[in-house]
This record gives sequence, structure tokens and C-alpha cells, in this order.
Amino acid sequence: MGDPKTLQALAEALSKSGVVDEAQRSEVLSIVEREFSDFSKRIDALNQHIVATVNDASRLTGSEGSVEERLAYVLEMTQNAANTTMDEVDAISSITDDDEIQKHAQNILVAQGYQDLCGQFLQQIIQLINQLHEGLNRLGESASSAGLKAPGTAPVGDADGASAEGPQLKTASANKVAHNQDDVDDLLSDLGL
Amino acid sequence: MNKDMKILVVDDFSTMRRIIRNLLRDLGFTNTQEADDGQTALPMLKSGGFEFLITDWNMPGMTGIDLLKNVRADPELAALPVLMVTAEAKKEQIVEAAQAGVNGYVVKPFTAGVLEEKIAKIFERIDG
Repeated sequence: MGDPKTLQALAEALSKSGVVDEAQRSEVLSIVEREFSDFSKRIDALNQHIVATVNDASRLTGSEGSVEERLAYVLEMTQNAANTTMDEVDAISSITDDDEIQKHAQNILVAQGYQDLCGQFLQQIIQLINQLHEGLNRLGESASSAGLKAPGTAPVGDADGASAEGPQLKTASANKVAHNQDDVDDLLSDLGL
Repeated sequence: MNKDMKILVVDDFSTMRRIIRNLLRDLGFTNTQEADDGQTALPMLKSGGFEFLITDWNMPGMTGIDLLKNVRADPELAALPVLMVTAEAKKEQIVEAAQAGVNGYVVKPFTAGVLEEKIAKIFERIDG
């Protein structure tokens, strides 16, 4: 595109400087104009790509419900399933005096804790997708109006103290994470608890 | 350890509240109530009568660590035994909870045995 005002200013500056003759001046200008045009084409292509990507992403919020809604449904389904299982455990426990059966029933009950842990991961993912959508929307707006702008997304989390971070993946920063109850107990006993 | 003591179980997941309350019932503690975050729990605690608090950390509204700090800052509640049962497993978090005055810390996923052991340990210290 080669902004005409910029080129005009550059031509005048070159003339005033006196360090280039007419032939050199027009060569410089034509190089600048060519580079401008090439750069401008690339920016246009990038803008189109971004707009298309944003449109693709918004298709995820189609007739079958948004990704967030679908994940929230999974959350609800696991909760219902865990409750059904616990209802059955209660039923079994109430009709037997057998200690072995009671023990296994209790193990089944405690195992339903998976719903809490998976649920926390799902909540984190839902939050991330929301942020991604917001970021893409801002990017799309920028691309389709005034060219590229930094989206200016702020990372989540607070600076002071230890914030809640949810369950830790086993691979996450090995030394900073207690991997089991024994690790927790060791740490607490170091602290005099 | 008084089996009739009133216990408050705080967790934003109803599944986990039910698991903990059932385990407490299996241990003989039948006088339990529940809340889904610190904001709901704090007025319940202030209304009196609770002798033990079991709380999650990561909850909307008021988190468990803030609930713990509020409890310790309230002269009426300051001595309440608090057990944290949470998936938060970073060492800095465990240290922060200890510094805030937690009496015990159980990481999820946990077993019935671990829960029983930590509760027993807390009351051994208090009663002993």
C-alpha cells in the first residue's frame, strides 16, 4: 500500500539532505515502495487468516452448544453418576453387617472423589476456553479494523501468597509439589505439626 | 474425642461433602453439617456450637485458606481445630496453611484410613 504521505515525506527528506542525487533518490523510493507493498500484502493475508481462525473458533459455539456448555454437562454427568454410585453404596451398607463388605463399600464411596478432582480440572479448562474466546474475539476485532494490535491479555493468578491452583499433574514441577500424603506429613513435621 | 461434637464440612463439590460426611458417620460422628464455601461457612461457625472444621482450599466465594485465616482472627473461633482436605499440593501452599494455623492437612485423593488417622491425631494433641 505504501502510505503516500510517508513516501512524500521521505522524498522531501532525501532531497533536503543532499546526500543522494535524483537517480539514487528515485531508486530508494522505489525500493521503499516495493517493500511497503510486500509488507502490506503480508499483513492483509495475516488479517484474513486471523479473521478466518476467529470464525472457525466461534463455530465451536454452534447448535450443539459451546465447548464450555458441553464440558459443564460432563461435570454434571459425573456428579450424577457419583451420586448414583453412592446411593447404591448406602443401600448395600444398610443391609449388611459383614465387615468385609462394609470395607469394600467404603472404598467405593471414597473412590467417588474422582468426581471432585476431575471436576476441578474441567472447571480450569472451561475457564481457559473462556479466556481463549475472549482473546480471539479481541484479535478478530483488531484484525478486521485497525490492523494488528497486541491482545493485551493478562495472565490469571494473584501475586500475593499462595493462591488456589487445583489438583497438580504428576509431571508438574516435581520438587515444589507434594506427591502423596507422606510428602505432606514430612513437610508438616518439619514445620512442627 | 467427643463423638457427638458438631462438625462443619466445607467443599464446593457436593460429591466430596457427601464422601466426607459418610466417612465421618462411619467413624461415629453423626452430628455434621455442610457448606459450599467459606462465605457460607463463616456465619455458620460464628453462630456457634461447632467443635471441628473440615475444609477444602479451592472454592469460589471465600477459599478455605481465607476461611482458616478468618477463623484464627476471630477470638470466639480462634481455638477451633481445622483439618484441610484439598487437592492443593504445592509445598508453598502446605507451608502457608501451617503458618495460618491449620491443625492437619490431607491431600486428595485420600483414603478413609488417612482421614481417620489425621482426625485422631488432631484430637490426641488437643485432649492430651
